[in-house]
Amino acid sequence: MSKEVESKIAMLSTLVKEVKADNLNIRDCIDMHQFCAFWGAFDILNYFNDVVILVHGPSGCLGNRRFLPAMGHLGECDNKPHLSTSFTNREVIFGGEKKLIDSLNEVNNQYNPKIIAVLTNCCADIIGDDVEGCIEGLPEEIRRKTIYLNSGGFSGKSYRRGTEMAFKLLAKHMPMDMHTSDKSDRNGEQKSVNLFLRRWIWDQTKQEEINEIKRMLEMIGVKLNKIFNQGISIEDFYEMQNAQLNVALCLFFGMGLFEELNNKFNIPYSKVTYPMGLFATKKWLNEIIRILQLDVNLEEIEEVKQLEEQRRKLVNEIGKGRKCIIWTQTGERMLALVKLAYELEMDPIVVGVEPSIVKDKLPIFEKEVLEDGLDVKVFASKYIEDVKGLIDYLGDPVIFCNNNYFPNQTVFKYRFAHNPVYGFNGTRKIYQEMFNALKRKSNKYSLFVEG
Amino acid sequence: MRNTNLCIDSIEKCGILGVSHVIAQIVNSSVVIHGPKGCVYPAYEASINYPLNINYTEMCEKSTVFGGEHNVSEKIVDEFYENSPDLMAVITTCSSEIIGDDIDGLIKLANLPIPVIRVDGGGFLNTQTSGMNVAMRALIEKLCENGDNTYPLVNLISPVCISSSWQEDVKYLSDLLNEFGIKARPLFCNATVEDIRDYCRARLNVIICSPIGLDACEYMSRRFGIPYISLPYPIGAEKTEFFIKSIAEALQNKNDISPLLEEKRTAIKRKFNNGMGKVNTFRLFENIKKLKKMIVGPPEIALAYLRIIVNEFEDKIDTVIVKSLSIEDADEIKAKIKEVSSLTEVIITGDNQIVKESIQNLKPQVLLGSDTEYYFAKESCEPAYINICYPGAREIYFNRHPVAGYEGVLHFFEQWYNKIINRYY
Repeated sequence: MSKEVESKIAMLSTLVKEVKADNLNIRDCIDMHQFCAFWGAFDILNYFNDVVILVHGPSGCLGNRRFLPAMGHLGECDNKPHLSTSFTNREVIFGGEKKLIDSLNEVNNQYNPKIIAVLTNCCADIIGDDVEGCIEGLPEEIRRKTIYLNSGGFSGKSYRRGTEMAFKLLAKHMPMDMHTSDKSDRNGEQKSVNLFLRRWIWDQTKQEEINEIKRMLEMIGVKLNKIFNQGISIEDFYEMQNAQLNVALCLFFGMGLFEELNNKFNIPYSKVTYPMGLFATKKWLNEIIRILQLDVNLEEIEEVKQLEEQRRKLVNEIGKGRKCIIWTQTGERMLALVKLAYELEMDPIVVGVEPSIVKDKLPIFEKEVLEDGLDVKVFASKYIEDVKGLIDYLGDPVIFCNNNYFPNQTVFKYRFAHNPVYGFNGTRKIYQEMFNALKRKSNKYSLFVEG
Repeated sequence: MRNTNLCIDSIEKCGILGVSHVIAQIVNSSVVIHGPKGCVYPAYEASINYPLNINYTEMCEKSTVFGGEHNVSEKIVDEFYENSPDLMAVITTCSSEIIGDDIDGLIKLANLPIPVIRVDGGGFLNTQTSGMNVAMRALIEKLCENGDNTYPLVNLISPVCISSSWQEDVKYLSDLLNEFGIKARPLFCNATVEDIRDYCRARLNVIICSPIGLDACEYMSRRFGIPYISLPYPIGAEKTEFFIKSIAEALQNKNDISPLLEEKRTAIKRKFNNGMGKVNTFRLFENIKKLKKMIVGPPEIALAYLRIIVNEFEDKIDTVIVKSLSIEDADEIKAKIKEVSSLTEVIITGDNQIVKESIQNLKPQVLLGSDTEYYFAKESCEPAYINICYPGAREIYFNRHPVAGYEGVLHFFEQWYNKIINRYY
């Protein structure tokens, strides 16, 4: 058994290098958090309360987008208009350009939005409707507020590429004259940052995270300029150019915008992401302190000292060097959990890494693993039986997971979408949850423990 | 009002969802989506509540330009060895439909020892509802061979996924017909491949939620000579009785079923009255009548619930929003509703934003609809909400009960009464 387990273990850095060098025959995985470029572009444009999106193509893609009710989602759904030119056979054969022009006039009359964004899906792209030409022919009033993107998923572009394309489009239309302050030096005026939230976050948890980030920024003397959040207005978006720095809670999601703001307005952005855990939060804040040239020493803050004490206690409770298994979605959260494991002086092994997602999120892995040197063992399987074999091999590991298949084991199951995880408050909560997890083995009679 | 002929927030989802919903009703089945990644989502949505293996062909610019046939072949074989399904459906998407890959040829070439069918899922060809129809027909075309229209069996076409209790409804209705000496079975409900092969041996096909199953019934009528009838969804005692009588009539059943029908009706009423206890006067029926009520759903479902509430609960419905894309049927639908309840306002639309605006303007205190409508309502009011159609995943039920048939009358009444009084009194 040990040989079999060991033969499946390699280092993450090796995987990232191989993916980067394109040495692996990687098949895509069905990760339902990562749809096609159309979804990425739609999601970004849909953040705005004064942008109306018109999809040029069949309406099916939009029907699919209202998927949360089908998943029993807790409190709300995206109720905004999901408009399309609703292609049928007829438009596919004869073209849908006239319908697009009429629809744009209709949308403008009905909603009079600040921006009308036309997104194409596969059909319109493949048949080659001239969207640009249609917009060119519109009356001036509609033309100047209409933007468009060819975002058909058939291009093979990922969700992330779709978000980047949308950010690029938005930044292109960002006027320079909204620049109300001099970023370079404002003689003692409080410096400000824009904040980009993580993607899968809603409700009270989101508000708690925003409050915590604001509190931490105030702690180092920085104010929040704008938050890229659902319901943002175009005006607020334009005013993002007045910040001195852009920071993200999930850089992977926000990077496209940050690069555009950097190119166009020379606003730097912090590449340090996911302030989860004491070390990562300090690193996140220290990078802001460094870039904004602030005179703050986090180690002198009482709250930091207290958390450090708690961390030491927790390390003693866990046992230095204790093995730990991390099983979560491949991406920033996974890397953040690896860092948390190291912070708690554990010896982590990641299971279920999807090479196709490493490929899709390569900039993040390149930065964190190849540039910053974060490395971890990976176990090359995502099958429960194999993971159970790994647990037996490791003895008594702590298991970080979203779904608990492991009765009678020490399981740290912390739902990130429903619990605030960022900042010092997030750290405190995570530590407490970890203390609790160590005190009890997962109960085989629990309905939430499978098997 | 926006011209919904130009741009619409459609009530219908993509054809891939409808196809996947039907395939998911077949034990140990797989779908291979021939398209880009985004098109996998509807299949994933179908797999949330029903077991379904999913694979896809990773369509990209290259396969769109040069054809994706190689990928299809590879994925069909991959899927076969990965999950060992009993049946596989290759579902086309907009992209693969337009470029015209020869799916049937590839299926033949793969020569797998299981049935593999091709179904058109592309959103410009099919909606969720028509997707269900083409999938049902494709399965029958592929699997059914030796028809026998004298075989003493009635096929009930399942209204797949129309509501959360559709499976309980069709199972209950089959059992109920058996009590009347009519052997019946639900189609496309937890079926095996062998079950489907047998679907062409029947004397009658019954559609209970038109148009779901219409294509399959027409096909079976032409190829195997099996006649079909389309009946109203049998919610409520009146339409349940009509359902049984109509089927008996179509079968030219000479047995007198009237005594049993009366016995059933009486038994339900007795159970209702006994369940009330002796505190009828203190029940809140009159208070409930004063609340503003709305039904939102597809035509058959909206009409079925309107009938039971008006005719059997002696209550009223202020507004019915019928979700329908068909303009041609609008007058007929409206007339049917007015026949049941002349004072009810009727809105017929295929546009979600019109549904949303109507709900938010009228602010119903009681809402019968789907989770989508409930989320629309929540922005402006907090009605007592009863789920009657898809999607309905907000509430958790491990033991579902039918709402159709005699038993369904009481199950629905329980939900109706309890949800309303817990919300308001």
